[in-house]
Amino acid sequence: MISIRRYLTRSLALVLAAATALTVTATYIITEHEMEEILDAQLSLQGRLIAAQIRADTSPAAYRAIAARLNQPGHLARRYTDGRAEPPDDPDDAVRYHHEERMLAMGFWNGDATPLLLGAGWNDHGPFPPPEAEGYRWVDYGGERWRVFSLLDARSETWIRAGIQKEFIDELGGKVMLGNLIPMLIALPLLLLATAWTVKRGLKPIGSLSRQVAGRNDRQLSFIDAAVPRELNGLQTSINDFIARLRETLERERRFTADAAHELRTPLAGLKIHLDNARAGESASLDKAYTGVARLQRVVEQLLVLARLDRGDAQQAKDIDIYPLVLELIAELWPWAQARDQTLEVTGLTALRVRADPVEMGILVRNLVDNALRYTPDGGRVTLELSSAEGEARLIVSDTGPGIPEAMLTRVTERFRRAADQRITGSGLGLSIVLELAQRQRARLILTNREPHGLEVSLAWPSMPGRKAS
Amino acid sequence: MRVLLVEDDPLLGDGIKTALQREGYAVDWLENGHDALAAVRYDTFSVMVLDLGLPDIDGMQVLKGVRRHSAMPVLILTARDDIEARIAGLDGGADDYVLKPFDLQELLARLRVVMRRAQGRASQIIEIGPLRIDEASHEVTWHSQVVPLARREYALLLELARHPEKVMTRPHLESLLYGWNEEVASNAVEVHIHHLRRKLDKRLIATVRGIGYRLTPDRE
Repeated sequence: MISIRRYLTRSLALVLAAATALTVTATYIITEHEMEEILDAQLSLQGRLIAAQIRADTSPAAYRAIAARLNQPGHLARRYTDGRAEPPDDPDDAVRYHHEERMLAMGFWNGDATPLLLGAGWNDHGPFPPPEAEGYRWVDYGGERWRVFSLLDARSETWIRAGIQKEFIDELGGKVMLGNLIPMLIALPLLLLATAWTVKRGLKPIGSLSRQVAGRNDRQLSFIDAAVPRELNGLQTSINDFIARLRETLERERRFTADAAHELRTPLAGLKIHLDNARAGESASLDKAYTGVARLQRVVEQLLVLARLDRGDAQQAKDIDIYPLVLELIAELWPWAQARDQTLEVTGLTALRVRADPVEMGILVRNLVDNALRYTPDGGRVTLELSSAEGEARLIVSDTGPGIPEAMLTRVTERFRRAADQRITGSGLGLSIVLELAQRQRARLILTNREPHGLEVSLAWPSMPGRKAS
Repeated sequence: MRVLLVEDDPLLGDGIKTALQREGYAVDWLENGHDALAAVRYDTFSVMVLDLGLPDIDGMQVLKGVRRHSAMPVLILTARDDIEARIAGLDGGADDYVLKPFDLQELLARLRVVMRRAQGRASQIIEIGPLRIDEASHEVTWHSQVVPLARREYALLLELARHPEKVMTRPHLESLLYGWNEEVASNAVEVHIHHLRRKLDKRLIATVRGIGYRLTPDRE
């Protein structure tokens, strides 16, 4: 699992470092370019000024004076006559005003490109190469590269060149870059620290939210009420919704457990006390104990059915005709009804196709009929009717029992909810199983009382597009 | 000793009623909370056995209703075994708490305890002069001689012994001996008193003419 904090910190650090490097590089390139332009302009201005001072009749003495002016200690300027350097005058008078001066130089050539006067530094490795054309160019001399501007003064037929060492330009650019780089390098770690701190601080609400959620158990289901930033609002709301649903589920589970305990322990207590009574000599108690066992057995069986349903095993819904299924069950329960003189009958359609799981439908119908027979007095009638109207398929089970008090109608499908007559050995689970199963078949379950008495349970499948009402 | 049993389960109710009657209690069995509340308003019982899981009103509500009218001992029967439910039951005014499924002997013992406590006694032995009654074993001795008594004779003697010197009215004694559905002969109490006097001592139980009877241990 990735950590947002690490991800953000790392990415921001990389971006910062890259931005710094980019800035410094760009500064270097731009500075060097600009520097070159400024220096180029300087060179041409220098050339123009000198050209303006030169005349056709400028005497060798004047050139000698210039050479004397240009002398630097150890690097003397030379006047040339017929391609040969004249010995310098007063080399001891040479002065250096600035240590970078040797990076700049100038020289004069005759119209035929023979040297006339070459400034300090341009004689060190033989005469500096002569000009070929006006303008700027790079010239290699004595292992150094020079930027040189050449200008031909037409009146005096004299070439003038002014130059600057590339090393000097580079040094300038490098110094500017370094000037930028050092503060950047000092700032970068501070920026990285600030970034890490900001990210950590920014992500704090996530931590506090997760601390609120973590370490909770089923007894601490209060809503989370943290002051979260807007981005986490949705998450907090979702978690709270989830908690609400969890609470509801747990509450239902708790109620179910309490009810199940009641439904299991009450017949068990009855069974035990009847056995005690039987031992004390009560003759009728043994039979009553058997009734208790039968009830316990039924509760246990129904609980197991519910447990299976709750587990939600894969359902195999398909189009089935429920008529044969209903008939099969009726045949099975027939002897039971017969023993109590009850009429059990099937009316209506002799084929009804619905979409359902055949096994679950079997349990559903059995519970419905079982319930009806149980609550219908001896000699009563239980009817199953298959019908179809407006594309809605219906299975209706009606009985002539006592029905359910109106106030209870909506509640009887809750687990362990039994209608009025407690003498019937129902488990209180039959209708909740029916409801669960009906929902799984996507059928509606409708309970209504009949006149003068009796209950009608109706299962309705909504009309399906593409299926003809049969 | 008259017990009001409130239990909605037919099987369990029937079993408890049979067992209590065997022990000599007069048992009135009701199956819902409304009837139970009505009954405690108009009748007196020695003790109430109340199931909490009733179909109409919650047992705790019944208990609250009972406590508004009466201080009679109430023993709760319940399937809820969580501590919270127990505490709520006891705080709600129950005298004791029995968890289903229970042992019959334990239920009987607890019934005796809550009734005894209601009378402010700590022992299960009542001794008045030469008369000694063991509530647990139902054994009655008179001058250290064990006297076998019939179920209703015992119940009658116990009621008188629990309130020595006090006059117990005939209708009250009748109601303790017989539940609502039992046939009562008009002279039933006299007959049992007669038997008791014969088996113990003629002067032990005095007749208060026109009102009832009382135990007179000192008039030997």
